[in-house]
Amino acid sequence: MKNKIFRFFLPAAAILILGACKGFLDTTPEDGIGSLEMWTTAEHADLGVAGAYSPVKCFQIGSDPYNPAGCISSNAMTDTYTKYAFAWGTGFDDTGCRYFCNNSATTGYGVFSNKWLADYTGVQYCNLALDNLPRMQNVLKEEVYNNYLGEVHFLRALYYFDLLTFYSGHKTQDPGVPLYTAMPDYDNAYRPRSTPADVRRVMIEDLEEAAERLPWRSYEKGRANRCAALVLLGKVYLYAGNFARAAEVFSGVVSENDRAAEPYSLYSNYAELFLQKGEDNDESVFVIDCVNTYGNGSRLDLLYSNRSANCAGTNTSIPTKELVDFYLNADGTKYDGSTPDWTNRDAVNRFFAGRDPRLDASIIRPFGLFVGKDNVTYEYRAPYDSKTSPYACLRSNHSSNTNYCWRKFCNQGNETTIRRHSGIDIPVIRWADVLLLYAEAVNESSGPSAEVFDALDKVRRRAKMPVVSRQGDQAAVRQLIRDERVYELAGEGHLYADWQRWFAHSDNDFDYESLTNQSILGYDGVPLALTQVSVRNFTRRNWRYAIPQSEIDVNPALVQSEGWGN
Amino acid sequence: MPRLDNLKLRASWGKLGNNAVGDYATQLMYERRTYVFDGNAVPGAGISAIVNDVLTWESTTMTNIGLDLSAFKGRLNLSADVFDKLTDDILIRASIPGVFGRLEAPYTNAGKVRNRGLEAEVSWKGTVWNDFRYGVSANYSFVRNKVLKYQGDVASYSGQRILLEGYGIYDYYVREVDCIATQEKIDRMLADGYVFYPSTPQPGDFIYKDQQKEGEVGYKIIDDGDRVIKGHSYPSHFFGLTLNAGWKGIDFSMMFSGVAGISQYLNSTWYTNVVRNGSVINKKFLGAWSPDNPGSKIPALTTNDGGRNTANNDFWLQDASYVKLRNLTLGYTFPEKWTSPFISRARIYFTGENLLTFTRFEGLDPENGSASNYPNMSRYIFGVSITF
Repeated sequence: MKNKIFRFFLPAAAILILGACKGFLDTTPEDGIGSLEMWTTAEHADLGVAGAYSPVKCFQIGSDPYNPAGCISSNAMTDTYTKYAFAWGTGFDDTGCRYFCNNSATTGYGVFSNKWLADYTGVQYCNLALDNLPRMQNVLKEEVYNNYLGEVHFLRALYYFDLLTFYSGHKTQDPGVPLYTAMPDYDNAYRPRSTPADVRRVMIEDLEEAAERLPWRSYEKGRANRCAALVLLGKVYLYAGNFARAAEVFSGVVSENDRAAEPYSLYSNYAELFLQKGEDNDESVFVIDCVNTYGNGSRLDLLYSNRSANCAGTNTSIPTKELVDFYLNADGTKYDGSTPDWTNRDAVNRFFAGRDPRLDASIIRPFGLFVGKDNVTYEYRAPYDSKTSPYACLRSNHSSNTNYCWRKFCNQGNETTIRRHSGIDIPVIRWADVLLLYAEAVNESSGPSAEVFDALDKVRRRAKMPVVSRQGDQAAVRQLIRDERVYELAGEGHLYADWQRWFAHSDNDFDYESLTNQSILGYDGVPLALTQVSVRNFTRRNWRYAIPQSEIDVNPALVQSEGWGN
Repeated sequence: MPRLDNLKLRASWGKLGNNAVGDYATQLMYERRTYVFDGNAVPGAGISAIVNDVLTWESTTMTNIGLDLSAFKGRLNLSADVFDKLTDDILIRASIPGVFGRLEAPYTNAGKVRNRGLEAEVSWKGTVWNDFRYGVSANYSFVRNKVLKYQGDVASYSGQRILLEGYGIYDYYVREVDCIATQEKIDRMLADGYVFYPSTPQPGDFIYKDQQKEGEVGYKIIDDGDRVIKGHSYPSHFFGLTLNAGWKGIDFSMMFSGVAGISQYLNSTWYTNVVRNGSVINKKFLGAWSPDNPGSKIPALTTNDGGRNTANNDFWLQDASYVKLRNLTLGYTFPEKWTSPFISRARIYFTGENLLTFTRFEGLDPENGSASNYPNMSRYIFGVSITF
């Protein structure tokens, strides 16, 4: 930066009025209350720590809580960057994922800037809290002090993990992201990317400290905890390809859980995990708590659900035929590609009854039932028809097409009274994911073993699927685990990052042609009439996001992601 | 110079201060940020802006040298000025990098802008044939603005416009259209190693000029790096002409005014090659490129442009210079002898406002920005004015 003439000081003075609707504070004399005061009372610490969480869910743009674009809470939409889902444009897709899907996005698009801004807002809120909390040791109860410090350390690592995942990749050869461990002053803000290794060092320190200070389970739902910190630590190692350390950390997590007074466990009913009634379960390790009030809910309902739902969803993300065909048969064998007569209700229902139950739990397929607005039971028939018997026809937002629809994260009946602010929680880390990460780390580190199969079995049994045979070499088991992640976690925002972990940007094995660039088909094999998008046309650049153009414009030290122009 | 009535040479210098921002701009503010724990939305707090605690006032220094002249018994009047207006320490919201988060940028005394130019006005009034009165008055000014200091090499952007040291305030910054693509040309360029952003053109799309030469970064990459500064968003020339005449009871006046040296970016739902359901577009686009109309300079109509033709480019940048007939008045005052003693004065008149516009700009009104803005109205008034 050339002009060294500006000097920005943090908090000259600031106050917060809690009851104010508009947020802007300060109607009392400004010279008496400074930001130093912000971090002096216990109440201020409550505010600052809750503030550090806020960019996880929804950074409000202006006063608009409708737009959670780019936040970790919207990551589920990024499954559309894999062959298992697709983002179909509607005006409601604030995430802008469709432009990445059809590769028409330029570096100025919101899909790139929103996440950048949301994550770095989180990073700087954490930095401010970490600057100030240590001075409050005498003000806060010891337990509260430890919790707060632990939570903020966890959050900063979570934001950096998300930044590395989308803007860089976690491996040595990836470019990294700019690193700030304290809020910089203006002159020091213009930094180049730090290497993934440098960012990782900060994440590891943060997570180790968080694990040290936090209790095993959250003291309040939605808070960070020791288990979440250790799981994220394991992921940091796993994504970096340090399988030995990852296996060690995950093994520690699993054995500590066995000894814990309140252990995490798989919830008995897979389908209910993604509904209001299954929300409070022992499977959630780190969850984004959502309630159906204005500004405090989840946007996924609107983006995933259909027109017959009370929220009048927009099917912005649709599960693809590739995903549906990928699910195994109920007996654990591979689906052979045979199709029923799609007009024959009984044949179609029999067909899907013969598949992994997680298919029906995750996806609304032809003749699938859905309890929609006013508790009316709809049957999905696509294209839409006007028959009412035996059920009215469920209408997808692309009703002349034969696409599948998501069932995950869709409210039933009139559960969502405020559209776009769904009360269904968003799991960021859940125990099934932990078991699969554990299996992956151990298998990569030392090959198949009883622990690996035990972990897989638990996930399979809960899904009411037969357990896997305990044979196969490391490569075969690797594939088993990878496939299981798709069956178990589809639609939850893990799949794009998984690919990034399993392959490398420089990896010629990652063949976009076969992995992503298929045309988007309906259940009947007919290409969907995509009015706002084209077929997926990924090139190597789609491995990661572009750095937002506005950032490149002001910071000449930044090097744009490969393939995104200059 | 026997007929010179008045000659005055003027010079002035002044300096003004201006506090152009609201109060408390030197303070860091915390805003409410909500999060949910245990099913309850709880208040949180996060900063919303970065502040600068060393703000000072803007200052404007104005230097002016002028000449006033009056001659021929006041029939000729002339006034001319050369001015230099230097505004320093301009309070600008600096660009801050996004690594601060979604924060409002602070005000800084970052800018220095010079406006230099000249103004001249000349008028003549006279009488011929005893009772034919006439007057002519013309004015002209020329102003050039230049950003002397802003953020070094770092620019700010506002849509298609750029704020950068050494250039005019918010000059346009656009790609230059080279030609309309043919399949043959696209194939040739692709084979030649060209890369296109946002995506490879299709026949009928624009091909933009590659501004880089061999060996330079960005060579054979057609993207926003090929934008150039082109066209001012503020006019350089302002001019006006007023004519009036009278003969017996008849009075007549008309006034023209106009500007030149300004461009407008015209690309809206009404002026575009992108057809949307239910939108009305300019009939010019009937002449768009198509396989049957390969000579057209207008890009092919499409429902899905993907930014290939609507990327900021000079096709949409138009010269918005204009001359307008602002006012025309024709009146007749009845002789007093016809109307007295009951009526002291009676006049009928016609006035038209905003009657004619001469411009090459294709939007609705060159004075009024983009195509969708409501144009200035034309008004026709027929009036009778009676004074008792």
